[in-house]
Amino acid sequence: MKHRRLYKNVHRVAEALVLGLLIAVLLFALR
Amino acid sequence: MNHRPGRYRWRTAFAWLAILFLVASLPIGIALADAPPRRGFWLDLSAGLGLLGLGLLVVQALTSGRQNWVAPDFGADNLLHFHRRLGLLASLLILAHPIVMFTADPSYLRVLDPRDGWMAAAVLWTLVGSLFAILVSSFWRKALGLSYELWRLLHGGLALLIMALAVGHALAADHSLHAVPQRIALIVWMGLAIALIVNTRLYRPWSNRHRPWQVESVKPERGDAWTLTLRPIGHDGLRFEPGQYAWFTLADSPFAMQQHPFSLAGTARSAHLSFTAAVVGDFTAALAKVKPGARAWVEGPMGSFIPDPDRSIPLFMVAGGIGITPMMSMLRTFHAQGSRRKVDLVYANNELGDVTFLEELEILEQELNLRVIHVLREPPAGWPGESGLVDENLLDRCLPPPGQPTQYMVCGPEPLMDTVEAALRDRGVDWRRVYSERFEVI
Repeated sequence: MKHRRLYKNVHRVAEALVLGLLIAVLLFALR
Repeated sequence: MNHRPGRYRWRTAFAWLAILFLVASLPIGIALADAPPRRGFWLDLSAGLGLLGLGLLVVQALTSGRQNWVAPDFGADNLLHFHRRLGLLASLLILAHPIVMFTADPSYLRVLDPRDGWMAAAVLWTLVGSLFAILVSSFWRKALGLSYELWRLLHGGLALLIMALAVGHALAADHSLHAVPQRIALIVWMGLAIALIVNTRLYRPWSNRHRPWQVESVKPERGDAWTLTLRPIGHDGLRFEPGQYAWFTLADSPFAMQQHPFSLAGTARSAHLSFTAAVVGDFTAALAKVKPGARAWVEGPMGSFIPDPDRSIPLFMVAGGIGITPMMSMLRTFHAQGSRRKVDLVYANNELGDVTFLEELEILEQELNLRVIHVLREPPAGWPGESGLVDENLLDRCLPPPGQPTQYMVCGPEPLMDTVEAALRDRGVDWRRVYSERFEVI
């Protein structure tokens, strides 16, 4: 059930999204 | 469930990531909708962290609880791994929320003082305590000696408590969520997350209550393993694809906390279900004592570790120890179908006496288009076959020529899987054709 390579890639993208979320918080604070 | 090997859709994966982003950022969106008053960068940053924490709690509810509409796109083991990592991140963000606030304006520390309002202080202290409890009990469950069942009960209870208190706190704090529509939106949003947890823990077992199973036989196998066969009582059983797994509860009540995942080892489309488990913990050790006639409950099937439906595509399987069980389901199903599909199976074990299903594999080798390559770490004297560990040299001797449209299936202990996955990648195998199943998920 595991596409490990894909998962690692998706995981990286997910981490980027988490970073995006933090930027969203920062924008909320800087609005 | 209908996941097709080799047809992984990137678009689906990215759509899910976009959904994750929206789910996590929605509370911030809800707060922004009413243009909350500005309170300075640090206090607003702190509020933003708290709102993001609320959103991440919803993501946590979505990525746990084996939601069948989420799992097939990623694999349940990936999703649980993600849930763990995200849980840690969400907790850190939530804890950063008060730390930033108290640093920016120490006068806010009064909210922790019960003399200044016992209710708010009790909520906040319980929230912080619950967060620590859920982290410590999840990351150090075994070190703490917590049984899986007790941990599962605790995890669900703490998750619900954290959600409810966090929403209560956000509404009571009142700075960013002032207008009534926003308050309702937040309650609905968090209510959905709570509904997901209730769905997993109560509704799904409840809807399963008319589908009991009965243990028909308990049989010892080579390699310190036990095979349990179950038959459906008053229903038509379970339809599954070979290679899938299900969650088993061996108890009178479907609500029992004890629920363990095992690969379905029998022939697909048979009325009976069987699984084979090696003795590794309390639960698997207790399987030997299960009496025929005992009640059982089955939730599933799950997983997309399934052979390509195109029978002209050969399979190259690598199994380590009890990782053989999903492969057995495939081989038994091929046998029942009279399939002549080409299958190579590299099967690693410590000793010859440990080789689960040794005799049955010998028969299947005669009757299917199957070649079994046993690899023994400690072979007996005069052993003509492969010995040692499954490594690159061994794979070079067994692998089909590159470019052939083979589907690779790997299941076994972590080190074996890491070696095989890396070796296949180094040999230029298209990773979309490599299927692997990790069973050490909880």
